[in-house]
Amino acid sequence: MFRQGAETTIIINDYNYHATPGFSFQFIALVIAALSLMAVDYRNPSLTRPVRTALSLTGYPLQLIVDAPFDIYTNVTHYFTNQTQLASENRHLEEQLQIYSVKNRDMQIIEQQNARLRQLLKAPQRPGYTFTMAEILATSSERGRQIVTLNKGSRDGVYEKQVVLAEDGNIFGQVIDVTPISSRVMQLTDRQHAIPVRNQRTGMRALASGTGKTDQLELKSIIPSSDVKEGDVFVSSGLDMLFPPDFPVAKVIPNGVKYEPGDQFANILAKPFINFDNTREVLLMWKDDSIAAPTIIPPEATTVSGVPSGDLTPSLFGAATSTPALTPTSNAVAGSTTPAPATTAPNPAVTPAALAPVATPTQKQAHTPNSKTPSKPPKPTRSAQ
Amino acid sequence: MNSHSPRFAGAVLLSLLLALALNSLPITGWWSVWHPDWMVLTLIHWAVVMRQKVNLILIFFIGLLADVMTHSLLGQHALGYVLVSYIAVRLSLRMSAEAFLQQFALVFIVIGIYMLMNMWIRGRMGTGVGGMTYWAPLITGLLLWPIYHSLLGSYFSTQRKMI
Repeated sequence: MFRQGAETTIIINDYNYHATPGFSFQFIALVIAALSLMAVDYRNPSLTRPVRTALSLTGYPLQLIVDAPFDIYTNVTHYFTNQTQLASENRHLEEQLQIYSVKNRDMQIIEQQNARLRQLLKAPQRPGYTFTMAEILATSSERGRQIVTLNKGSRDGVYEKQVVLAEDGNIFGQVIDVTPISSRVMQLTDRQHAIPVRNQRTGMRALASGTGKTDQLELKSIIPSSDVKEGDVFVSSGLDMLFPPDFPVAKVIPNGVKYEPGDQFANILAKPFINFDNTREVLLMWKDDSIAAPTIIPPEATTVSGVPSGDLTPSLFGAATSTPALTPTSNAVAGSTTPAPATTAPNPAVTPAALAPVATPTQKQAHTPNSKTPSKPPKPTRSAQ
Repeated sequence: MNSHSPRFAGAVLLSLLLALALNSLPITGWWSVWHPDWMVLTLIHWAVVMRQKVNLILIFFIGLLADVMTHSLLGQHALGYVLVSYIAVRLSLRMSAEAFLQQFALVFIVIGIYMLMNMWIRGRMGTGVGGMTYWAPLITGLLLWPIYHSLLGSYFSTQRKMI
């Protein structure tokens, strides 16, 4: 029908090149390839890991180039700060260093004391930590995803599911992907992230999940009758065996407690302590493996939860790990021992009210993809209820 | 009709890498809501300007690279970018690429389809974002298109008048 003259044929060849089947076939083949790749990646991410690592390494120079202007800017501004400012800053830092070194000395004494007491009580040793600084190179541009790339990788000892802190010692997120020279960190605020937390004031446990916004975390499935106020601070509970306990996570925002009458649960909005927007440097955290992580407490050590202590950590460990040990024996024992810390310690980690909300959130955590290993302690706790 | 060709060897690849870099800038604040997908704009540009030379396989691999850099499902951006190029090429055959309004319509449709597809995939994955602000990049993309299009046209390709 088009073959009317030589001129038209040339035009068709020139401009309708992609109307020919070849282009469309290529398109269909690539769409099928992409869809099957997505299916494989969704069902079985370990299969596509080599591809991911190879491509990350390819993209890494690009990320370095993107980061270079920011790096140069900070270096230049550091170079041009004037003498007096530097001197005053230096003096200030020296002062701070002295204060901290004294505090550190005190800490060491307390640590030794703590270790000895734990040995006497046959409680597991508290793990120590080491830190390294890393720099954020790039962020994920996808809305709702809060994933950043760090300039340290497995060559520097970074491993998957490593805990990452930001400068003030607040929890930042966890490592989800490692290449030899770089690593990816999922922030607390990512939609797929959740962290088990504990209300510092009441000891109530909950699960803080990301909302995709950099300044908001959501505490889901809170029983409406539970005691949560504006300004309550939530710290990590350590029940996931991943994040260290007692690190600040978020604070309930004004008007953050939302409960619609008739709903089964209340939703609580909290603001993370970290300003995720402005963070450029983070701390990678290593647990000292010389001391075993707290797992199981022998039955005779259950009295730990009853020991009045000024320090928060022993009672916390007691709360986290001793309750499962209690439950198999009898409910009567659990009932008699649990109120004790509530009256003595400032941290009533194990109150009957605090136990109740645990069951639902920690159960949910098991199927949050990509986050962490399901914790063992809460399961026996549920059976006690 | 003007015929375009790359200004220098690797101009297309360089512009794609530039878009990838722009996409991975550590941006914060209000701009993180509004920033467009630069890669989509670049792909539309090349599809409109020289549709005869669009290489879908190259675009597929660039998409995989973007997937890894944004840590999304492997293949999500690859599929999106291939789709964008294909639709842009097919649509540019049906409308005059020089007409301003028609070009806007093309960009609107292509970015719209791309974002719809992304929304669907991420909804299935459970990482979707709700709210009308999801569509904000569509507006910025449209507004930035003429500037970006002319900049890419003048720095990355040369025009040759055809009679």
